[in-house]
Amino acid sequence: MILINDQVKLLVEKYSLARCARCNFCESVCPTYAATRRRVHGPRGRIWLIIYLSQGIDVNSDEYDGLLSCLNCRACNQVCPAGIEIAEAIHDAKVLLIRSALK
Amino acid sequence: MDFEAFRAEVKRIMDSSKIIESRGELMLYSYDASPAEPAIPRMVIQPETTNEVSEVIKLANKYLIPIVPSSGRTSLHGGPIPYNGAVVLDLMRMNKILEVNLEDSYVHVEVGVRLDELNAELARYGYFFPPDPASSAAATVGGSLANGAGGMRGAKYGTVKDWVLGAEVVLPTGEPVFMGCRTLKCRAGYDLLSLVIGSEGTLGVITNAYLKIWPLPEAIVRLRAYFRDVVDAARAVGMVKAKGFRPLIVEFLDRGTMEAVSGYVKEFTYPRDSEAMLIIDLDGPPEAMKRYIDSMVNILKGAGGYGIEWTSDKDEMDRIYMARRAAYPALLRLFSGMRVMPEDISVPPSRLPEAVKGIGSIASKYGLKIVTWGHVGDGNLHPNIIYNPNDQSSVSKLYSVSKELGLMAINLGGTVSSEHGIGVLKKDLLTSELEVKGIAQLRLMKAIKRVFDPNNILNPGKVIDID
Repeated sequence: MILINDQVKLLVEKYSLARCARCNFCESVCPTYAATRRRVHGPRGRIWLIIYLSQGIDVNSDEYDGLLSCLNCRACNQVCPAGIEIAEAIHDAKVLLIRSALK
Repeated sequence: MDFEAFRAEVKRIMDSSKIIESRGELMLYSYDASPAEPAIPRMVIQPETTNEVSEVIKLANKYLIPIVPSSGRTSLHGGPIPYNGAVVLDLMRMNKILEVNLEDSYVHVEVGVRLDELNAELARYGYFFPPDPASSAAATVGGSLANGAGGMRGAKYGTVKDWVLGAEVVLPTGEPVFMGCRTLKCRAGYDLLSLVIGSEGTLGVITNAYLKIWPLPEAIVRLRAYFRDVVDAARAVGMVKAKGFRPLIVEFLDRGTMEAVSGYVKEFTYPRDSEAMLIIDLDGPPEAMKRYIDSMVNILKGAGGYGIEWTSDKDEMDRIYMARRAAYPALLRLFSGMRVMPEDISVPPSRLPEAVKGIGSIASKYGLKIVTWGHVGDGNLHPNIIYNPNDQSSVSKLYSVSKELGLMAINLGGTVSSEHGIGVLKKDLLTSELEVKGIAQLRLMKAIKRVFDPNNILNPGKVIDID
C-alpha cells in the first residue's frame, strides 16, 4: 500500500513542506504526540513522512497510522513559524492514503 | 561492535513499545534543526526510568554501540544526529515534574519536560526558571542542560549552568550517579556536574535535575528606542550597564530585521531613517519603576536613541515585542526557497559596535544576506545567515560566513558559541578559539572524554574528536 508518488509530490509542493525549519514547535502542542510520545504521531514527524513518501521512500503501516491519528485540531498551524498549513497537508495525505487503499 | 547481540539483549530488557526499528520512523531521528548532514539511527529506544537508561548504556558499553541521547531535537549545530549507525536514546518519555520545593528553592524535574511547560507549572507558585532559549516551547530541560542553553534573560540571569544544583547522570559506563547537591552551596570535590552541563551528551546522560527557581519579577516595564547608527545602539548597551542597570532583557534588532518584520506584519512600522532598535525590559519593585524609566530614557537619548516609548501595559508590551517575536517567522516566510542559519557568537558588550560592523563586512564579502538580532545585554549576537540549501555555492558560502563570524568573535575577545553549542558544525572553530586561549585545553578535553567514556560510545564525534 504505497501512495502514488506523483500525487504526494504535488501535495508537498502545494503546501511548500520544504519550508519546515524542523524547529519542533508543532510537536509541543500536538495532542496525539502528547498521548503517545511517538514522533510519527506528531506534526513534524507527519510532515517529514509525507516528504519521505514524495521521495519514494517506503513507509510501513504503523507509520501510516501516524498520519491517520491526526485529529485535525490545527494547533500545529497556530505555532508554525514558517506558516505551513500542517493540518491541511496531513488531511490531504490522509485522503490520498484512503483513496489508494480503496482502489 | 556487535549490534545484533546488543539488539537481542535490549529486546530482552525493554518492552517492545519502547523500541523503534521501522525505517520511516527512524528517519524522523535523522535530523535536528541545523543544516548538518542527516544520518539515520539503527534503533531508537525510549526509556522511562534512570534504571532503563543505565541498563541500555551498560549494554552499549559492552557491545561498543554508539549512543546519542536526545529529546526535543531542536539543536542548531548537529549535536543529536546519530552518525555511524548510532542508537538514539529518546528521553521524551521522562517528562514528569517531580517536586516543586519553595522552602529549598528548587524544582526537581525529569529531562523530557519542555521549558515552557516547566515555567507554566512554576508560575502557579509565583516562581520561574530563568534561562529562556528562543526555542523554549519545544526545547527540553535535558537538551537545555546538555547544550548549556541561555536566552534573552542571560544578561541578568546567566545560562543553565548557573541554575542547576544537582542532577542524576548515567555515566557512559552505565553507572547512575548523583552529581552536585540539592543545596545552594556545594564543595564536594571536583565539580563534575559543571563538566557534564554543556557537554552535549558526550560525558553522561542526565535523567533528572534539581534546578534553582526564582520569584517572578514584581513588575516589568518595557522600553523601545530606535537608532540611526547600529554603533550607537551597541554603545547604548554599554552605557546602560555602566550606569549599574541589569535589565531583564536587552534585545537588538538591525534594519534587516525591521524590514523583514514590516514585510510580514502589516501593523509593524518603524522610522525609515533608523538602522537599529533596542527593546529593554526592566524589572523591580513597582515603586522604583518611574525612577528607573527616567534614568533609562536619559541614557538612551544620550546614546542617540529616539522614538523612545515605554509601557507596563501587557497589550502594549506585546505590541512593542512583536518586532522581535515575529522576526524568525518573517525570515522563514519572506525568503522563499531559502533557509535560515541562526549563528551564535558573543563578544564583550564593549566590543559590540565593532562586531556589528564586522557582520556587515562579512555579509558584503560573501554576498549572503545576514539579518542580525541578539541578546546584547550580555554581548550575544545572532547573525541569521540566509542561504539556499539547493545551491552548493550558497551552502559553501554559509560555512565560510559562519567561520569568519566565529573568528571575528575570537579576535574581539569573545566566543564562537554562546548558547547553541559546538555539535559537529563548530568543532574547527572550537579549536581556533582554544588555539588563542591555550591549545593545551584541547588535550585536557580529550583526556576528560576518555576518562568518562573509555570506549567512546556516548555521542562520539561531537564537540571534539578524540583521535
